[in-house]
Amino acid sequence: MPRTPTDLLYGTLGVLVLKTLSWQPMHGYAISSWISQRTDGALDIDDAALYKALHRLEEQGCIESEWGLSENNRRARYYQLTAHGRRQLRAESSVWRAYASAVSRVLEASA
Amino acid sequence: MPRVPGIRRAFRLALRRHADREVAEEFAFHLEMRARELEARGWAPDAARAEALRRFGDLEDARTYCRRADERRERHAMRVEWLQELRQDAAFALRTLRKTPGFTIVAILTLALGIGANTAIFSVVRGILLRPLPFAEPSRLVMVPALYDGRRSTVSPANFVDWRAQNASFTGMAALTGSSVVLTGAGDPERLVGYEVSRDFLGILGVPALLGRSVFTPEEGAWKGPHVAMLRESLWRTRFGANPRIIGATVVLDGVPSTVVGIIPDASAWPSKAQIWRPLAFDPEWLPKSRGAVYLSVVARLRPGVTLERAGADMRAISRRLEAQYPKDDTHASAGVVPLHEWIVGELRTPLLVLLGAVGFVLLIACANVANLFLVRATAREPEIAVRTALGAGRARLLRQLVTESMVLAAIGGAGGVLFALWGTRALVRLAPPSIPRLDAVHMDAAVLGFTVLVAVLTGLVFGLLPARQVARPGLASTLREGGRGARTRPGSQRARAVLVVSEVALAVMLLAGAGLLIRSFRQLVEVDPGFRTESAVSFTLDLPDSRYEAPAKQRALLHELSDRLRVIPGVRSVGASFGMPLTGQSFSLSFDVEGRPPAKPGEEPSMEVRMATPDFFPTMGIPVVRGRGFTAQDREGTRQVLLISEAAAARFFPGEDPIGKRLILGWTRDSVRLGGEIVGVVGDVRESSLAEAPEPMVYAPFDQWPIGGFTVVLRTARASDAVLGAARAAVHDIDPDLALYSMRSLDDLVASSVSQPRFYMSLLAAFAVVALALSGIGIYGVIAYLVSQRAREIGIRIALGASREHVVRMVVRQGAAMAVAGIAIGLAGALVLTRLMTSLLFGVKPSDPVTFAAVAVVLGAVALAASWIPARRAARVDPALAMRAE
Repeated sequence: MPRTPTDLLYGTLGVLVLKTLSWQPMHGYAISSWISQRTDGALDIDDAALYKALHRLEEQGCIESEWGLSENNRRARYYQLTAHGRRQLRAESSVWRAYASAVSRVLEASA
Repeated sequence: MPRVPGIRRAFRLALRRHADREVAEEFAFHLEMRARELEARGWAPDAARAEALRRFGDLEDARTYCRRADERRERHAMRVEWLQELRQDAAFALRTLRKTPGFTIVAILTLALGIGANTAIFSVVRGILLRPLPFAEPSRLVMVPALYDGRRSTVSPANFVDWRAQNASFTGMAALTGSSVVLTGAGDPERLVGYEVSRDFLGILGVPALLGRSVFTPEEGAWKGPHVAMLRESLWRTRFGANPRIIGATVVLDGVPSTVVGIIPDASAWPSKAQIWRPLAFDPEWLPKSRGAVYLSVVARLRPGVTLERAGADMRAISRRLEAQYPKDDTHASAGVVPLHEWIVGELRTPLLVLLGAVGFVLLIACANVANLFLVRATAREPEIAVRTALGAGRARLLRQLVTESMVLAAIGGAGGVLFALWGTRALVRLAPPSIPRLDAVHMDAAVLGFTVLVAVLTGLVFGLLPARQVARPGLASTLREGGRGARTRPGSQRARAVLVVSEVALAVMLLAGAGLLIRSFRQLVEVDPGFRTESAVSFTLDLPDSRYEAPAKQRALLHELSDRLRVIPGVRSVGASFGMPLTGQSFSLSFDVEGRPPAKPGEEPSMEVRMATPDFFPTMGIPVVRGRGFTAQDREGTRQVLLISEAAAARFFPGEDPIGKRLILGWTRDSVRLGGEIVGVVGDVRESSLAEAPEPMVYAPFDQWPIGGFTVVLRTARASDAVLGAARAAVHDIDPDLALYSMRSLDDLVASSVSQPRFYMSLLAAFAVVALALSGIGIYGVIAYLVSQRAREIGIRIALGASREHVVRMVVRQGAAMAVAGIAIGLAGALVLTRLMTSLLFGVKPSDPVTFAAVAVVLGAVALAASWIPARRAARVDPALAMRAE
């Protein structure tokens, strides 16, 4: 079975969620839509995994949640970044960037 | 994140269900949004919902995972909140306490004192009485004393050997006897506290060696075996620099080279002061004849499953056989079996338990005092609390705050108590007389600390809840309607305060009575005439090693030369010497016959304490010759053998006749000559083992006729004794640099150290009593001062209406006096019961001594009057106009 980018995603789902929430508070569905729009569907995130990541991040204090009203007047759980989450995002994105650029340097090196 | 206050508590029990519902709702919203999106893209509604579900993935797994994460987060948040509230309450309590520094300081000091004293005493009691002995299975170790006519005694070698061979109760039995040695070489000669012990003595105790072995081999334990020794760890460290190669090395003991075979750890060395152990062996020729020479202590280990009773019956049966076999020495002789722990600390049980009880009283008084302070304060705070209740503070919350406040006080007081206890424990160990065993086992440890914390927490709860019950009663709003000021004393709270003060006074009376009895009996004790003059005299002791001084002629020569040198030291007036000193119990007892009287039946021979003394010993000590003459220089080797007896001996053994000219034959044979002689004089009595015990009958023999390899030299001086002691030491070392002087002290010190234990108990109990007195004084003062402030207006009106100031003072003082009288009456009744428990600690005073009891009542009455008089004076100075305007 060929590996898809999704397989690689799990380790970095957290940083993606944090990044997404750095724009504005969102509920889970909006986060899911936002990520798949940004990546043109290349990263097709499993919803279950996304929610697990959200609750894990909340337990770690990176994000916090609050019930609010959605655009269509339904009760929805909104997540927003905490100060701790913001610091975490900065730290993890720099690690991720360094890692990604190292990997691409290796892959693009002409033999 | 905004939160509805209190929501967490509301959901605490339903936490799980709540988290589950939230997760379900969140997921439902997601699925619905997804389905709508799909519908918008043209899916049929049913298909859209199915697709949304499919895309979600493992929904059940995610649901459980998310619910658990939420639950954990909530629980954590609640913990944080609880801690925050606690911190808030504590901070609030601290603020409140700071506002009334007088109250806070008195309360904290009171608690610290109570808790600290308790912990210190408990540490001592635990170290001495409760901590198991540092041996393997210590509960199975016993002492086996001989019993002669039921009185405990040391054991003869022959009996010990028979006991050991014939008993069926013990896995091992060992004997020991004190045998100190002088260590020479490598520095100054040093006298070591030593013991000769059966070869497996430490093995039976279960003491392992730190280095080498703790058991002597059979060859080493045999008569005329090789010279070997085990050293105590501390001696090895200080004297031999903890050199591990000491095992197998040679040290010089009493001039004899001996091989070190083991190092014994300090923690389990026994006897506790022992520094050196050498093998105990008996001359096989002498052994069968040794049944009258009782000088061994016997320790044994019970076989598993053998009770004390069975072992005791076993030993009695053996003794009966020996009695039948050896009627001359073993008539009326038996043996007892006593647990080792009881043997070591038995005598201390009563004084320590009395001290523990006393210090418990101090803590009770301290708690009563603090509770009292709290009550007074709670009443004064009624308006504040009423306001807060009206503003919506819950009863539970108020209660919690009050309890927090007292717990904060208890915590600070407890911390202060721990510091005080640390200091107090050390001070106790330092001040305690060295004759108290196992002092080295005393230190503050975890259990004692736990005890302190428990006491602190209980104290906090006790005095925190008392006022809380009163304050947190419903109906406080009426206080508000009274204008929020000048809360009226309610009969209930007044009664509570009165009960507290009365019990404080009663407890203080009991403590004072105990302390008073000890003080009186101590004064009786030190006024006892020891039988010799103590001022400006010093003494020191010399042991002559057998290796160089075995010949009596050498012993005599040494003492003569030494006396001549000491006599010429400037400031020395006279020099005497004797074997053993009064008040030390260092004499030995011998049976005797009076010539011309029929010999006594076996087991019923009269006996006397024996002492060898020089002629100058009596004038130097100040022991008078009552009749006849004392010893002279003519009473020497080869002249007629003479003896002196004490007045007690004359009264007991020669009632109604003149002992002078009678001849005694003592039960001691040396070089096939029996010690004995003609009585030429009667001298004054001296107290032998303690001031509290009546003088024993005593017989003195001239040192020159019966020299012995060890004696105490007494110097009567004209000036400061320190310089004399230095010169005396130099004189000894001039003659023989390898002799060690020990027990150097003035005769005043000799007397003082003989009463050091009663002095220690008396000082401690007196200290507790003073604390108790001060605390109950503060208690009475606090209550009266409070009452006065509450009644300021009434008093103002009385004065305005013409009441005299004296009348006001009398009125106020009467209230204090009433509480004091009740407390004193209850306390005296309690003391009558309790002081009987300390009968064994008293000397010359009955436990119900009326003088002591009366003095206690007077002292407490005076303190109570003073404590109420001060606020009464203040009340009488009340300006009527001011008092009424203040309302």
